Amino acid sequence: MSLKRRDFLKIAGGISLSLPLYNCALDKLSDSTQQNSWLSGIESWIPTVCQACPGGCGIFVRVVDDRAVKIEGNPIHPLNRGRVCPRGQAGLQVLYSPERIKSPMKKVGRRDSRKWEIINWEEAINAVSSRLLELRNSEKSHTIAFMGQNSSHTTEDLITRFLKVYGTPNYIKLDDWTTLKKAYHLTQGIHDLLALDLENSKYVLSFGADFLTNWPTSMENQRIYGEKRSKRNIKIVQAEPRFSLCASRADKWIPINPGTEGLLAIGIASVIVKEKLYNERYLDRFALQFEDWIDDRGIKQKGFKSAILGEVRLDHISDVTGVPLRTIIEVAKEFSSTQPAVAVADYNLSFQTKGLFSVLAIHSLNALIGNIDSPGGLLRQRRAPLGDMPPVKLDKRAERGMSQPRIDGVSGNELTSHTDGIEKFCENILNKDPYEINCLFLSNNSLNLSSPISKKVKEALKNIPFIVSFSSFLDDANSFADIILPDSSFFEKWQESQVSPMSKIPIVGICQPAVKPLYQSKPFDDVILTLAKKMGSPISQNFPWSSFKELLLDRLKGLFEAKRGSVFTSPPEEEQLRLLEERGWWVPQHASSEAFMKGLLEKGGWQDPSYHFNERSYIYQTPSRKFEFFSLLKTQEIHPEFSGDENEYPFILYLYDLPFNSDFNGVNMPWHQETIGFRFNLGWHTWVEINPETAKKLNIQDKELVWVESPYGKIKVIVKIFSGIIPHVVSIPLGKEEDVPGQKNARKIIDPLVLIGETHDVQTGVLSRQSTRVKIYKSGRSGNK
Amino acid sequence: MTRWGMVIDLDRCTGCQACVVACKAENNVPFSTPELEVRNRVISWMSVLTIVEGEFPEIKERFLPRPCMHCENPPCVKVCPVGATYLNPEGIVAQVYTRCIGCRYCTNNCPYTLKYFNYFKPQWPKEMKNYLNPDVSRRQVGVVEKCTFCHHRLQKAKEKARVEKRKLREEDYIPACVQTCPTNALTFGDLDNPRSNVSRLAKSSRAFRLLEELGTEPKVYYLTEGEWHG
Repeated sequence: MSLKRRDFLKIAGGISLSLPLYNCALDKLSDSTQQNSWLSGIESWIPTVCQACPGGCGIFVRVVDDRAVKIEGNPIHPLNRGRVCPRGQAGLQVLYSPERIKSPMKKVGRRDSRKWEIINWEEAINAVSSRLLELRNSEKSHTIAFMGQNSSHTTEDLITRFLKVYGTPNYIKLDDWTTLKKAYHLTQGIHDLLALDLENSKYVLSFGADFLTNWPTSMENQRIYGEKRSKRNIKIVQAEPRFSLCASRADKWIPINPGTEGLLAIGIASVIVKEKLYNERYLDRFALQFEDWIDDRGIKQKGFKSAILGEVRLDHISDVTGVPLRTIIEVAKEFSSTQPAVAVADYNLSFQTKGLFSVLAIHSLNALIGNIDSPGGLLRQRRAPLGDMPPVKLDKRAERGMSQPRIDGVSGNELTSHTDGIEKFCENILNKDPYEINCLFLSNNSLNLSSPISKKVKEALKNIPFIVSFSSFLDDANSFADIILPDSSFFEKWQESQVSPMSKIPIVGICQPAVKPLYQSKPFDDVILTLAKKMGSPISQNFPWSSFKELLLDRLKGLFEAKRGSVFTSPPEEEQLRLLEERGWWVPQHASSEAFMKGLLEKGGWQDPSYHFNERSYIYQTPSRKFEFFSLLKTQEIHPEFSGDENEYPFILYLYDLPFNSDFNGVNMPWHQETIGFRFNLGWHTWVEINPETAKKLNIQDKELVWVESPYGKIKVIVKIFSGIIPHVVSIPLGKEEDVPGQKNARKIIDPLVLIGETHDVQTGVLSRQSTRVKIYKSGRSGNK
Repeated sequence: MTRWGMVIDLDRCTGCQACVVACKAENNVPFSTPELEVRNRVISWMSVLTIVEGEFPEIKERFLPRPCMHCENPPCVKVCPVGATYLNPEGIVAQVYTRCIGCRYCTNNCPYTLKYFNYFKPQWPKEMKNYLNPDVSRRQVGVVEKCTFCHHRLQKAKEKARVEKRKLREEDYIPACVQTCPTNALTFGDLDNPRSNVSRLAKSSRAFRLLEELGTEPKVYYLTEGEWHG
């Protein structure tokens, strides 16, 4: 038998392709740096939860010889069903980022310097606890504040407990979704977000909501989108100034002037009211102030119906929003006749001068067609029954501290309420009103200093004598820190992760360490426990747990005792369980609490697939137990405002979040950074989107470098000519950084937030990102070089 | 005989980039840098092409994920002087990095431009070498690389089946991009198995292949979106 050369090469090729399986033998030939010795190749898959965003998708981490090498989805996690988003896929780049802070550090020299010396944990904990004790003993416990973003429930409860026992009401929680929560509170009396039942919906009217990409439930929405698109039984209409990724997946994009989303909703409502397309039965039973009503003083007041009929002029709305009359009428008819339909808004609308009004107006559409707490509409999740922590015992000092007003001006000193805006907090610190802040704790990723009020924030931070940061990366905010206690990433610690209330069913994912904490980092929760212990009685008495894991497993037992739901199981079994539970049955799967806990850790978590409709007191918690139109009726003057002179600055600036990048923390994920600009064929560089018509007028070419200037600042960016933006609007993405890990000198940040002025939502005080005017002019350079 | 192939449903694709990043993570493709981007030297085995149609406000955007087409009649194989790229018996167009002499004939002959040449030495910061997949070899400077349908996963699946003394099942082997796709737009399997999802979808009236007229016979099929016919 003769062997031809080509055949021989093929065989050789086959061998060499299969060789990598045997531990990179070829690699050793080509590059000896990969591994110093042969790998034993022991592989394990650790079920845990992704926390690259607040979503909480179930994942498996593939660990080979103590190295985490790949992330795959957990197929039985009900949120993502085995799928992972691009951000989650890039998660390991955060774990192994060369830029992580490797050990506790103490500031040396001036406070605004960026010089630290490495200290050990004992020293660090001593420094913090002695400072805390000193303040507490001199009756100044209320002068410490903790600042953090939304994190897992148990972590938040732990922080709350710590602050309560210590004696301060100042838990400053920042959340982009507060405007939406506020709107639901005003109309339905609930302090919560509602879930979109996309699965059963036939028509989604989205007002700039990035529900496929930037919601905590995006992975669920993507899956349902795929299924429904395939069967062609959903229509999505997206109204927003820019043709976003969601708009490109919608059936219809309605370009609308920035800040007028609420007006469009009012226009649609007026058509529905005029043509009597509303759901009379629902409004009768569940709504207040739709018809004219008599107030406490016996005076007749106009209801929503007469207000709309009397005051709304559709042609005027069409002019202001830029949406043709015909489109408004068409959408209103489609929306009210296709059942079930739902109108959705998201945090994007918070960033305008009339944000709360917009969200209220959009939510009123849902009331008009009566799809609150109905299939295919907006639902309210029943929370997972985590076990309670033992009650706290407060001493007199703690009670005195807790009775002080909050520094951020939020009324009531409950530690659970969110902060409206960081601005008030900073002003109060600077004015020492009502007292000074002596110590600030910054949780991981809590503060983004790239905003127009950053000056004020920086001033405030300078005024605080002692700042402790838990950040695992150096950024502008923690450059003010006196002590840094680096937190571990979610691959290295125990955590519980409940899905956001925007998912209709409660899910608790268990995050367990895939690898040991790298370097000298320590999980935040364990550090808080250590700190509490170090401070001795009476604080330490309230923290009997030896580790956070112990506390967590203790609370998870509550899931077993609640006799609801089950550990993750296959979709058919889940459906079976749902049917049973909705009919009042429940079958225990595990004989003992130990067996339950074992199952929980193996499968990755717990879920309860059932949903019970018509629990009126859970959905409507207003005094009337009805949907109230009142707050919408009170709103006056609903036109958006812009800062900057229209003649000098002809364009409205529209800043937006890129897909899967709603909190700007994708900076340490180069894979994520290089791919999110794919629609414009741009990876690392940031850009400004300009309508072709505008570009022609300004004589600007695609990919040219231009200056974008507002009354507050200017930046130089690349032009992308894009038909998906309104001619008098220009848009710039947020959270794009040319920051290459391992190349410190390459760090180049173009921050579009320097362009915006101090304009706020008139009702909520949230800073507006969409109300500044800009001008654009050539820089005389091409963007290619 | 098994013939591995993929079907991509353009109706479902949201252009989210999960497949792109999953591929880089699985196959030890280093992240790009601003310099590489400017020089057009970024390597991305899977990439999503954006097609913009129409003018404001009637604009439409379509996304087209593009892995290697794994042609039945691959133009890249025909020009390789050293047999570094070849069609294996299961239909995968394979690449042997140590054979490659870097002549780039194949990159030039691929009508889909889906072969990538390592102009520079692939670089990772020291810490990031920890996440490298031990099943996939890193490439040297001067060789061509491309999507392998995560061939190493097939090898592993076969070994596992052998240990468990059973036949390889179709679901044992799935590339990283298909596994992660949030909308289930990608389907993978044996095109020769009439009962497989992938062969059923490939026969659908919506199915088409890229540049079919060239006779390359790609094993990556697309399902049209709406009224679009590629």
